[in-house]
Parts: sequence; structure tokens; C-alpha cells
Amino acid sequence: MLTRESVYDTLATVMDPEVPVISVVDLGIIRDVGVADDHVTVTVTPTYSGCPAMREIEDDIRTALLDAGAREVTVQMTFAPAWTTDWIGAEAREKLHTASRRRAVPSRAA
Amino acid sequence: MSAHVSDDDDTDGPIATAGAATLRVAGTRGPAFAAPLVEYLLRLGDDRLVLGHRLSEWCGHGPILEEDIALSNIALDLVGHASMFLGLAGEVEGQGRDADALAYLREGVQYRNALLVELPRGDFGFTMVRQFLFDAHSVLLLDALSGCGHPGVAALAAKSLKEDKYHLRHSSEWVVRLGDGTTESHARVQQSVDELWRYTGELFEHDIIDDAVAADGIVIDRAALFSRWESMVRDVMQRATLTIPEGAVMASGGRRGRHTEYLGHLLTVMQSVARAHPGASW
Repeated sequence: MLTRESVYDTLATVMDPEVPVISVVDLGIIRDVGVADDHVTVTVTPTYSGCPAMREIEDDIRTALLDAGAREVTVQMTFAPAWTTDWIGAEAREKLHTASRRRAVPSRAA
Repeated sequence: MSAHVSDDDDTDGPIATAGAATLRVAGTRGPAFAAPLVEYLLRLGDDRLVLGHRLSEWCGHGPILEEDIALSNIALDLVGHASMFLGLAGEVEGQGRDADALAYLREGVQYRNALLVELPRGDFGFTMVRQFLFDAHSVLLLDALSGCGHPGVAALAAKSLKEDKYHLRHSSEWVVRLGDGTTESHARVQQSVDELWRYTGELFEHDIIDDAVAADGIVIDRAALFSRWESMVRDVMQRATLTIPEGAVMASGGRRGRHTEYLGHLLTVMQSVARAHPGASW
């Protein structure tokens, strides 16, 4: 039996395809979750409007929730309020810092 | 480079008559006009789709990698904005057309973009001057629209505005750098300003579509918008040591589906895959 909490737990395993160290929940793009029996509705907002990963994120969310026992999944898009980096959680921020340090170009001194 | 504005006879009737009571519907060979809010959204969407496509032509051709990436990202933003406005246009129209159908399956005469955005990309200076003139207008328009009385339009405008502000910073800085740069860069961007200026008036035209969408809660004072735009542009041009041409006769027609010859070529490329494989999915 799916609940809002269990849906959020599942969404916490869906990674951002471009920065796969943080989940779509960490990223702050999940705006709402609705559960009616085993039909789940997830409302998502894009980080920026031309985001080419949005379709892939939708597919990943759908697949993860179907695997978790949802019978039907609706992913809908909202544009208001517009996403802001303030919605990235503190823990996710730390993960992003770590990831960017790992990917950093070696300094000239190195 | 000179643009050829198609200016055939007037049998399909101008609609750019502020205050006219009814929309003069096109003659048999002319374009048909949709409901005012749909027309309004097509204008917003088409400006951004066509300009985004023009910018995307720089992908792999930028002067430096960082700029190549920047232009491609700005192109992506604009196509994203177009997708939102065209998506809403399709919803309001209610005939089952989505953003893809509107982008890929309309003819040139059904496009409602301003002529400015369809001109060939020219050199890097031309691209930047055009982008700056558009961005300055877009930031002001979207700012006004984000407070309008139509919740759907206001939400899309607010989302697009956040990104357009970055675009404006980028393009205005380049205009200053090139204008106040070398003799060669100054001469090139001055020529671009001279060529492009006559396409700026269309961005501020107010016609019966603008009047009609007041019923949808959208009321934009384009005269006030123009005066803010002009002072913003004059400031940047002054810093760039560029001169704004005096007394230019403004070109017009895009909002009524009368385009330069360049739009047809652009659409042929942009629509080729969608038209060759209708309804394809992968």
C-alpha cells in the first residue's frame, strides 16, 4: 500500500541524470505528491525551462514508482513558483560541493 | 546583408489597427487568425522559437568554447520558453495541437514572430547586437507579463524572466566589449546596429490583439515599455561608443504572417525531421 511518505522514499532514490549524486527530492524539483489508491501523481518543476533532462527524469520517476507498486503514475509539470537554488537541501549542497571538487580541473600548481 | 521584406498587395488586410472593433479576417489566400489569446501566445512563443533556432546555429561554430556553450545554452532556454508558450497556446486553442504540432507543422505565414529574430545570424557581432536588442525588450515585457491578470501567462513569464535576465547581461556585455573594442569590432557592430535598428519597432507595435487580450487580464503599456527599452539601449550603446541611427523607417509584418524570405529557409531545416517522420517516437 503506497503512502505519500513511501512515494517520497522512492523518489529519494531517483537521481538527477546530470548530477547523479543527488536525488530529485534533494534537488527540490518535486513540488507535490498525491496518492489515490495505487494511482500516484507527482508534480515536478524544471530547474530551468530548456532542461533537456526533464523527459528522462519523468521516465525515471515513472519507472521507480511502478517498480514500487504503483499501478498508474502521472507526472505533471508546474512552472510556478519558479525553481530556485534555495530549494536544494543542505545535505544535497554538501554532496554537490564534493562532486564538483572531484570533477575539478587540476590546478596549475599541481 | 539586406533583408527582403515581403510586401505583397494588401488583400488580406492589415490587422495592426489599434482600436478597431473586430479582427479583419484574412482573404482566401491569406493567413487565418486564431482567437486573440492564442495569437498573443503564438507571438511570444514564435519569437523565442525562431531566435532560439538562430542561436543554435552557432553550436560548434562559436569564437571560443565558452561562448559556444553559452550561446547553445541560451538557445536551449529560448526553445524551452517557446515550448511553454506554444504549449499554452495549444491548450487555449483546444484543438488538440501541442507545442510540437505548433512548432513543426505550421507554415511560414502561420508564424507570428517579429522579423528581427528570423534574420540570418550574420557574424558574431550581428548575433550579439540582435540578441541584446531582443533581450532588453524581452526582460521588460516578461517582467510586465509576470504581474498580469492571467495566471497561466504570468507563471510562464516569471519562469522565463529569471533566465532572460542572464541573457541580457551576457548580450549587453558583449555589445559593450565589441563596440568599445578594436577598430574592426567597432565597425562591424556599428554596421549591425545600422542594419538591425529598423526591425526594432515591430517589438513595440500595439494592435487589436493587444487590445483584445485585455479581456484575458493582459494589459501591457507598450509605449511605456518602449521608453524604458530605449533608455536601456541608449545607455549600453553609449558605453559601447555606438551610434543609434536616426529616422529609420521601421519594418513590420511578422505578427501578421508576412515574413522575410529567410523564415522559409529556417523552417525548412527546423521542421525537416518532424515532417519526414510524422508522429515518430523513439
